[in-house]
Amino acid sequence: MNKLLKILLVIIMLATVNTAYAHVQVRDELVDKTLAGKTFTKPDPHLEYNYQDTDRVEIPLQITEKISTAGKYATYEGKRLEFIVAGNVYYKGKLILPLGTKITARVEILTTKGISGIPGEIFLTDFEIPGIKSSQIMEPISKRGQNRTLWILPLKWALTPLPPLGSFTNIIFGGDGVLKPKHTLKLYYYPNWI
Amino acid sequence: MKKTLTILAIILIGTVSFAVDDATLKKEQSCQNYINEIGVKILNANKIDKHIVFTYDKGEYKKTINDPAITKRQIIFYNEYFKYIDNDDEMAAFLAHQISRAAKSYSGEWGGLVSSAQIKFAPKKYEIFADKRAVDYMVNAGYNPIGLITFLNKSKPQNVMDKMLFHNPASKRMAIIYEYIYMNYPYYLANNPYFENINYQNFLLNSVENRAKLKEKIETGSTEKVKYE
Repeated sequence: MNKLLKILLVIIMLATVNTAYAHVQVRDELVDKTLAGKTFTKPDPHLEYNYQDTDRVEIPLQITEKISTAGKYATYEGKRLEFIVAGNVYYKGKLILPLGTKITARVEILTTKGISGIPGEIFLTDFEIPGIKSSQIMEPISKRGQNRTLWILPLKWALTPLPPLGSFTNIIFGGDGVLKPKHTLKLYYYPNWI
Repeated sequence: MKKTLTILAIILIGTVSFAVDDATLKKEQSCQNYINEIGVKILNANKIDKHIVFTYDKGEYKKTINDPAITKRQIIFYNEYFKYIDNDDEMAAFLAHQISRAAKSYSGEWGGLVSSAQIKFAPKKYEIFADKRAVDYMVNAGYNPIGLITFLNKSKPQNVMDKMLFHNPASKRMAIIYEYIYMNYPYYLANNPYFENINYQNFLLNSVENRAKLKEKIETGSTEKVKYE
């Protein structure tokens, strides 16, 4: 009987140790140290929509400060930028956004320029426009640098019979994505979308 | 009598064969519907106004030069991918990545022909782009973007030649996705149901060095790109 109890005790101890090991976890120190205790709102998914209406209004936008994908004016992902509306915006004769209205947006993704003439590109999203819901805006919008692939591709094909000249075209880079205050971006607003 | 039996046997064999075909068809339809449901939800939630289709293929993936996601805007889901998918988030992760490539192939000159060529020329650059965009797509459609990390952790091998060839190392992709979620959607890290998931735990284990680099970036307030391994 005593022996049986001892065996039982050993089994229970082993099971406890095993369970303890099963709960050992790698902690995410970064989250523990930098996010713990902070409250974040769960992003709202966009699951209610009705795209039957085709009315759309163009909102011309100009940035207030020059930005680029690289160099002196390089920006970074997540940065909020300021824009102004570059002209009065009307819908059915009613002024909905006067010239000079301030708007903000976030740099969503930056792609740097690459070989074979691939341009850098700036993607903008999360536009905050007075009186307009984000579900009614077609975003993101983007600004690309010079797309040199357009002439590099034909050149590459033309030079392919003369190796290795065709391959040399690979080293030509595209232009940086640059957004200056004089550039006008078009953002489309669908007033009857929900 | 013999003749009657033979006819009966033929009829029975025919019925069985129809039954099998019917079951197979229903299974394929069910897979196709599941893929469509999640894929189209992502398209609609993200207002992607381009035509993209989803096709279930019961065969196995074979590497070819043709990439239907960017040449035909057709996203093919091979049956073998189910091995790596445990929930809707992970299915959404696969589809969202492919959708972002397909949508990108529509942009620019010549009806997107140049963009498609660029995606082929610079697959590494656009792979990262598609991962980041996939995170946005998943969040907008109500899926947890951590699913993209667990999906990659299970399915993408860390090829020794990746640095020199056409894809980014899986560890680098996961680190960039993690940073993107941290910066833009911290809610999902602060309230993380995947913390108990063994694949996520494995990611935490194999990304210790990369996350230390991110920690340094955050602590120093740097805006420079982190060089992940």
